[in-house]
Amino acid sequence: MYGNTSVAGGVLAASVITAGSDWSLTGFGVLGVSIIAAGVMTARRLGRLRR
Amino acid sequence: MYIIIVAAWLLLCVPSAYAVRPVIQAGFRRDDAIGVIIVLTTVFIAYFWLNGIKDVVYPFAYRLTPWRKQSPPPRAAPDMPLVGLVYVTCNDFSEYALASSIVQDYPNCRRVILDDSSRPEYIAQVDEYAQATGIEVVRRGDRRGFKGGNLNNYLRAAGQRLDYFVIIDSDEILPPNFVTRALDYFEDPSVGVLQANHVATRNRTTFMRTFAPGVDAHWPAYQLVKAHAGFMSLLGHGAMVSMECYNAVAGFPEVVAEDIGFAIDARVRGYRVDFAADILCEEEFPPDYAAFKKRHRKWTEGNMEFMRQYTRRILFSRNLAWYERLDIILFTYSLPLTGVFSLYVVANAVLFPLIKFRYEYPLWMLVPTVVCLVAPTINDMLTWRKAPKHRLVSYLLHSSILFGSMFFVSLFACVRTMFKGSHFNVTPKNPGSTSLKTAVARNVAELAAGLVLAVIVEVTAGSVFPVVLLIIPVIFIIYLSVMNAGDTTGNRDDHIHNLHEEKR
Repeated sequence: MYGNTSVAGGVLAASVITAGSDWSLTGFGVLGVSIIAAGVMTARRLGRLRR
Repeated sequence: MYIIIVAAWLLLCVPSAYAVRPVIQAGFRRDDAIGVIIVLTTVFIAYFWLNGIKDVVYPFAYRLTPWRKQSPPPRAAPDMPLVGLVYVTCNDFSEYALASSIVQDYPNCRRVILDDSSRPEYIAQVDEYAQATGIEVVRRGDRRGFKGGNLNNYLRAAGQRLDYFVIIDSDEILPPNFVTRALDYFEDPSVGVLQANHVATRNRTTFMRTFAPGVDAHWPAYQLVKAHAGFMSLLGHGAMVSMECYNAVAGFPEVVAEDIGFAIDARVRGYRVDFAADILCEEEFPPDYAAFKKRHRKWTEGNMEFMRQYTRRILFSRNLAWYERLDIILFTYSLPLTGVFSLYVVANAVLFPLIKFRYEYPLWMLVPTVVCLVAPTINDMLTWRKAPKHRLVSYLLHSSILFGSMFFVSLFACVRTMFKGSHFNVTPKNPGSTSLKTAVARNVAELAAGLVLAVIVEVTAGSVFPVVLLIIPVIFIIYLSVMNAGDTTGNRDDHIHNLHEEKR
């Protein structure tokens, strides 16, 4: 992965291909899970700081 | 190797071209401009498939070819060419790294510090070290030409007496046999530059420990294959250059990406860059997310500048083989092209829905796209296949989020460089604050961009789904920024002090 410059391009390609799809609920579901996961992980890190 | 890559790519492109044809025709029926945008978008997808196939083939070429076992024998010549150990610093002096690097088992070395520092504390550290060791220090009146300018300032004058010189970055540690072994490679007269292998050490923060395995996996696999079947570049540090090659090229180009520019100029003049997998140097991974971002911004801006100045040479130089040109483009053009490709996302996810033009690419095209998206992780998976599975999965997820989150950083850097020119940002060597407030403040532009993109696409396209892969890494930016919370050994000087104590 180190030094890889194609991640952004791959993400863009995937987004372009799915641009015509209608998966709104799935999109929100994925983002919701990500927000919860990121929130928990961030809280755990900051909890480490307070200890 | 590139014949295999291109053949596999064509095999994928031919059925895709047929499958996409109705979509393109529908576009042209509606409007010529829409048809052209769909054609360009398809070309862009094909480009990333080519890039992804390259990432699939590289790790296997490294493991299945005999290249790993090939290295030159010790040289027989009894002469002792004069070798300069050139330590380059700019407000990031590391006594520990320099003191470790200048201990060489080769007797005819000349040691020099090229100090571009502006901060008094670093200038004082360099002076103190120079006074204690007698090492030469060279400074200049300005900082024109970035690192390349700093090197040229010395090499075009006093440095001319050297036969070879080694470029040492501030955090670089050379092994004691670096010079002796590197000279073996120069027995081949076509070699003008020797780039050594690297591992990431002194991983004193959680951020460094999490991502350092990527450095160790990337260097040997990718650089060795590039040296044999692609275009091997000078990577700016841990490398030896012959003065003959330096003079033939007329010095380093005074641009942000002076390393790859120099490698191309050298190739054009008949020299090549070789890679020594058996010379293992040490480097440091950026200590936190802010430092990583800064380095990524420098790479994007440097590659933008490089693209503007070198594209003509890359395309038309007679000394570059077709596969070398392709390798250069695939490895260095993806970052600068982020800005251009973003326009396609805007067109497809925002503009087309707004004008009520609906179309769908064949869904099966997602399969090779997803394979190409995860292709950069193949080398990591093969390298660390014996590591505990949960650690490997954790590393891969963290890396994907980290590099994915660089999308907006690259995009902003592309836009800024278009109007302002490139800057050489020195990567910080010490971690910054891990507070939530600082994390939000430092990443507010990326967070806002992610939110705005999500809202716009949801409103215009009726679904946020097409851009979730761009948004998810943004959601984790705060987490990446506070990863070092609770670390007690982040400061470089303290860490080095501890290393000294342990040695005693």
